[in-house]
Amino acid sequence: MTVDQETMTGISLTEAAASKVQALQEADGTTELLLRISVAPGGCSGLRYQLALDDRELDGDMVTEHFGTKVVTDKMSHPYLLGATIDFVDTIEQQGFTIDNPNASNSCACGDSFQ
Amino acid sequence: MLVATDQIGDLGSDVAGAALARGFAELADVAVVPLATGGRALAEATAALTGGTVTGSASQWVLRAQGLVLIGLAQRPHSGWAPESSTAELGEWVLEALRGADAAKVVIDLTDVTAQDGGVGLLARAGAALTERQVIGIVANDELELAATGLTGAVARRGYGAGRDVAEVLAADAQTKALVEGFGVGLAVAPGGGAAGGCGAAILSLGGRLLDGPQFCHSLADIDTSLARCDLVVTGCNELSALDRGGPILRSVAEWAERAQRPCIAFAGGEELSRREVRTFGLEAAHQLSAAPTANELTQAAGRVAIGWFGR
Repeated sequence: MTVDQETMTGISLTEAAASKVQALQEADGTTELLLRISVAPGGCSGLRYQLALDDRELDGDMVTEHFGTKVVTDKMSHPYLLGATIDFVDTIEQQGFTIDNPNASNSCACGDSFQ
Repeated sequence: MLVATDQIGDLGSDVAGAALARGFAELADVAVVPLATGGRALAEATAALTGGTVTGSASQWVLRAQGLVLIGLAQRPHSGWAPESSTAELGEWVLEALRGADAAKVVIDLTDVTAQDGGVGLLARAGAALTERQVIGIVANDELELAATGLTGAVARRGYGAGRDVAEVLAADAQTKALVEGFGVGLAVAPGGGAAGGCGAAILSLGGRLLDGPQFCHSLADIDTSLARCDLVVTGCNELSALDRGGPILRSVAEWAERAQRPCIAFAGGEELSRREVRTFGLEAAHQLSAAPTANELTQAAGRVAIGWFGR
């Protein structure tokens, strides 16, 4: 796994994840979209991740670029994602984006929810 | 012994408690403390504890007792996200209830407030009438630590819960923060400030405090003194299940009994649970009741259990 270390915001995106985002952008017909990652209350462990392609920049957003892909986090979610690495895995056992978050003291087997 | 119970079936907590107490009365001295989480049931329980009188309707009520006024209002439920809703009607009702009242302690039951205005309407209408008084806000147990803003605050919980977009949630959070911080610095993130759509912050801004229903009844009845003198604690509820452990009242009573190192038993409806599971709830035993028992049935059930604890 190649990781583009982003020290300014503490969020990292792997090359595989960046490639997948670009492929999704192309499928959507635009390369102007950002990968927005946010944290919301909910899920079985108390907090859950939300990943989406977004064309907006909101007040207080933190935007960084990794392997040519822009990643954005809102100001409320940002403290919960410091040091997190977003990867994309495509194996026989698992397919999809994964988030390795050092702030998570506990997480659910679903991979979407943490504490 | 101490009987401190929730309502059971159609019986209010004071009637259910008295019925259970009669079953033990031949064999033990019994103190009865009715409990409720909020709503009209809390007003009735408070009336039983203070000798006060409840007046008003099903949607707005007031209890007047010596030195105390308890005011409650049930608002229409919203669909989860209603930032335009207001607590102005609550403020008007509080103002009306306090007109001519010289009670030093004012208790505002916020458990049926569904507005999400940060308590602005309440303060605008009744803020002046509440200053110089000891104010207590009654909120749901799971909102006692809920902040108004931030990712784990009330606005984010409600907004994301209603499927709102991140931009809308952030805007509402910022607006609430500006409003609530206007009441006092730090209130936007104060524990309980997010309770009842932000009314918690309004109460805190008045120098008041927040309690849940059982905590309020506990303080009124001085339950710690009764616990120190009793050998057994009896509680009850409509349904005891593994999911909610009997609800907030049963959980509170079991916790108080455990803290005082007194055995606690429950009379409850619902599926029969294993003794091992019941013990994880802080209960020595749970005695099953039929659905909606009468007062006589409660007394008979308590009488059978009393023999096992106190002999004849």
